[in-house]
Amino acid sequence: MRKRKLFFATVIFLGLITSCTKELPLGDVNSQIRLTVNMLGDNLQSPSVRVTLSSPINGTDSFPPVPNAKTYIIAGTDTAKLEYDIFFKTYSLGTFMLQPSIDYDLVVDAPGYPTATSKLSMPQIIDLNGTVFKDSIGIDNQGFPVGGVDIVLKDPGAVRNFYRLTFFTWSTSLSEWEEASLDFVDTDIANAAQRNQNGNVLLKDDLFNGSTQMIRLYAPFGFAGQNPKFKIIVDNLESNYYYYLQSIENYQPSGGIFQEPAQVLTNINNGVGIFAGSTQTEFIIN
Amino acid sequence: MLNKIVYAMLCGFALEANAQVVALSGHVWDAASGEVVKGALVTDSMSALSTFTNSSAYYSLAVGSGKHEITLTADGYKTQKMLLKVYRAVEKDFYMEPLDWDSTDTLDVLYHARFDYRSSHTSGRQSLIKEYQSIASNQDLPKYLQNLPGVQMGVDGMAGLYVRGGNADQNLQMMDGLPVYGLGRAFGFLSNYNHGLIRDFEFYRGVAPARFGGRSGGVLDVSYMEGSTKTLKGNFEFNPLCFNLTLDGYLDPSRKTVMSMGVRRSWLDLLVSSSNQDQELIANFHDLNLKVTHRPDAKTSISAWIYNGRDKYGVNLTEQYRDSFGSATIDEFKLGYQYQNTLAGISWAKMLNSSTQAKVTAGLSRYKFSNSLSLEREVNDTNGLQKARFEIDLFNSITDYIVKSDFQKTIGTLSLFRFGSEHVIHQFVPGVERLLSSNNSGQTREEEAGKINNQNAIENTLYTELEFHSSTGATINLGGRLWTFMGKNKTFVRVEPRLLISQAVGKTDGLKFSLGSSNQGMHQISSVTGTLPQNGWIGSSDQFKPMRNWQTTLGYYFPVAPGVEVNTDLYYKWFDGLSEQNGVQVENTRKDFWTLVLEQGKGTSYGAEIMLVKKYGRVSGLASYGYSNSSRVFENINFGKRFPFRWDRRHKLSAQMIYKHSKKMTYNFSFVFMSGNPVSLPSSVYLDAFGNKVFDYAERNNYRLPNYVRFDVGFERAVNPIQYSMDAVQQFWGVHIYNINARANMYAGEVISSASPGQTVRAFDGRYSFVFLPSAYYKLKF
Repeated sequence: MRKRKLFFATVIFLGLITSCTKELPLGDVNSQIRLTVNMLGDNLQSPSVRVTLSSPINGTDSFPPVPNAKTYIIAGTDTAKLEYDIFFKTYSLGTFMLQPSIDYDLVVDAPGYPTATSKLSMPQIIDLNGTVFKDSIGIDNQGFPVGGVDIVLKDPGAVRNFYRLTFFTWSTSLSEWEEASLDFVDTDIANAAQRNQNGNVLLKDDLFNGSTQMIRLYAPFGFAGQNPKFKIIVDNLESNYYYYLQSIENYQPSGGIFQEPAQVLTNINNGVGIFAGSTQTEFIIN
Repeated sequence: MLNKIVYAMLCGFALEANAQVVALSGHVWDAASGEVVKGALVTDSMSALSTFTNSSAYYSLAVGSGKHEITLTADGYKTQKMLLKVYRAVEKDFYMEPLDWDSTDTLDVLYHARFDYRSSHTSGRQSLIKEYQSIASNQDLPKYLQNLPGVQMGVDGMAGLYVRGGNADQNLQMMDGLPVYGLGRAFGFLSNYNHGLIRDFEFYRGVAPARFGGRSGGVLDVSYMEGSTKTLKGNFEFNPLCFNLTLDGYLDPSRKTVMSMGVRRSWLDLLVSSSNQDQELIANFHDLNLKVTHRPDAKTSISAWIYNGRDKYGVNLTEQYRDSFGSATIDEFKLGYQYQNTLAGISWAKMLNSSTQAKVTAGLSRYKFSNSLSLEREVNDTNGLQKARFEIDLFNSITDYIVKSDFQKTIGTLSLFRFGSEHVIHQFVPGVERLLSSNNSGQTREEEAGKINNQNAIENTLYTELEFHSSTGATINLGGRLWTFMGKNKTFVRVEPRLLISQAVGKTDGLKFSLGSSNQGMHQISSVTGTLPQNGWIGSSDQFKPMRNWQTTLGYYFPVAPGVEVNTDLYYKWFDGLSEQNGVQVENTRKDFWTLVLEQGKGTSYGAEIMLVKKYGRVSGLASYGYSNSSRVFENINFGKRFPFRWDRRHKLSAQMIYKHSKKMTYNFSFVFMSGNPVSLPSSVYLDAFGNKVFDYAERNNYRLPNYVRFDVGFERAVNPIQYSMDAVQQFWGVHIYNINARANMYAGEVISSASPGQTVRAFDGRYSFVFLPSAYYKLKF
């Protein structure tokens, strides 16, 4: 009897507050096909631009590549015309590389679609000289001694910089670099760092803009008599690159009833996608 | 227009120079109950000078010495005219008779159209709200106001007020002069305002005079009854959501001390037996109002009041079992959340002399939301009794400590000077998470996160208003506020000019103009679709600037039939510092988390409104049409392109009618048509740089939901009174049907993903509530 009353009250309560749903006609949505252009480039590899079409929301998924687009990357008066690679289905040019501190324009002219354009400003190379390994920097909260790597990052002033940090240790048994976890000693840096689901550790320079920042990482302890090797890779990301990664991380396909959907950043005029770059600095501690 | 104003001012100054000016002042009372009458218009018919009674029912009108025909009009009261000989300062109290149930007062409408400088303004008394039935047979002030043009309701059935393109958190909602937060009880089905205690209200959709401020949207100023000096009376109501008991009357034989009180409580949870200890569903709310007023003499009034409202929802589950080794285990699981409003205030008002009145108010307003989860296990085995407990609490709150002063002084024949100050200490707790765990050995571990975001702010405001009255029928309210907000690491100082002008046209009509600015230093981290109980507040700081709006209105008001007034308004509104969620989800214990989830931007809203109002009589109601266009632009939302506001409903047609067939039978009709509100839906699917499928939200709020159409009908019938001793208790019952046309009125839409690998989207679903909701109620009046 009591359970019936409880059930009765629950049903009435939920009936009052719960929303009902009704399907809306998909045909009423302003469905459209747009040119999709994606390129995340750096200063070490030839840029590769993927051009596809989006799929209308009320149709079946299909993202056909666009092989006949005229694709250019322009730096000042220099224009590089990228060629379509039928194997990778991307546009690239083997002899062309993105250079640090240079601005580039992208133009993608595909028949039947408005010309898609975008811009990127390649960030400058970061100086990591002075980065060292220390065999013992104290003890951890379990009471064990720990080693550390002090990354000396000379942050350029006057501009906001966005970094992606990657840390490797050399495996003598496998004779290859192994990616290691990035554990910051400094609490402020640890709190400021963004860790994405795909393993990226991103850091804005709010805390140290324009100054030389020592970022201390925990590292394995006890290399006495050995010759440990570490590798630090710092990608200086263009702001759009950084926010693009963040938006991918925060992407929510639907906001539900009370939230807005979280969109993926796009910086392509007359299209969707991303055109952004980074410069990479590698530092090996031997 | 400008010529007339200048002429009026010159005439006024000339009159002041030549005539001996004396003050006619006093209070206006309800003759039936002894309550004060706020908003009564006291007019000298010969010079056409007029003034309104303030919240203490005080008026002060400067007139030239001689004979004067004084006309007294007020909403819901019979007009009074009297001839007074005024040769020196006179203190004169007036007593107004309430209108009969089937009568209307045409003069009231006429005078307000001509002399009221306020445009886009609605005022009324309790009777106006009591007659308007809304969802679940409740009478609720915000639901009545949602019928006005330029006001959107937000989510169907809730008490949200989205005024002329503004968010619900941009409104200044006051209860006896103190701000009140949140939508109220039962998620907003019932507002914080107990309709049985409301004495009067005024609501500004447009520019409010300088005495109101601190928010950048509409103003809702609600005053509660002080209590009858004639008798002890009350009401008891019972409807599907709650019962409501209100009482008011005098407390001492001299009738200098009066009180009013009200209690509302849900009753549905009482159906569930509390004797079942294994499972308990908690779903209840209550609120309590108490106000005591003492008038030691005719010129002084001291009031103290409290309000406490609380909602509590959750579930408690207990499980007991014994294993094969003989260990007895008791597991207890509790999940719940609650939110509550607390207000406490005290005010002192005194007529200092025949031309000056002072009022000082002090109080606090607090809103707190908390969400808790606890797990407890007791094991009784061969080792004895062992206990372990884990608890997590999430809460946010806002607390305001307020002191304000208001002074009113008559200067010369044509001017009224108001000035005052307001000082508020805001305490913001945007989100704190507390973890508590304890084990059998008594070791307790407590962790707290999010306190780093707690912040205080101090808001100080000085205001002045100068009202010019002229014999040509022009009334000008010129004022301003000096607003300062001392937030975290930054102080904002802004000036808010306010100008409200009314020019009488012909014998009955009025042309109104207003221009003003207002600022708001606090931001609610509200969801896009509607305000939720858990939405916390933050203050402006070096990271977040205050909201500001500028608004201008032009109106023409005129009576068209006995008791019927038409108001037409055009408005344009600019917003800056608006906040809107960008869709990013982060824990609200993270330092400055709002800088990640909120963007700040600008907006505009413009529109045209026409409203026909008849407040009293056998047939009463309002009919209105409003066209509005509200849009916003944020640098980091929608790629910097302008997009329509979520509650941008371009067309709104609303009609609400009450027909009193007899003293015993009243019918209620309501009709609302609105354009569908926009929501964000993707237009295509594309591959991101990593080859994942993502939706292309080409634009925010790019899809308009179907139109909103709703008919409500209801009636109330008086039945045989219950006799006791010499008195009788009146009985009423009624029926109301919300959305009798059973239309699915949608307020939100979302993408439904497909399970099929070849198709990302299966459908779009629209969300709606309350299709054909009948309800009944019962009332006692004693």
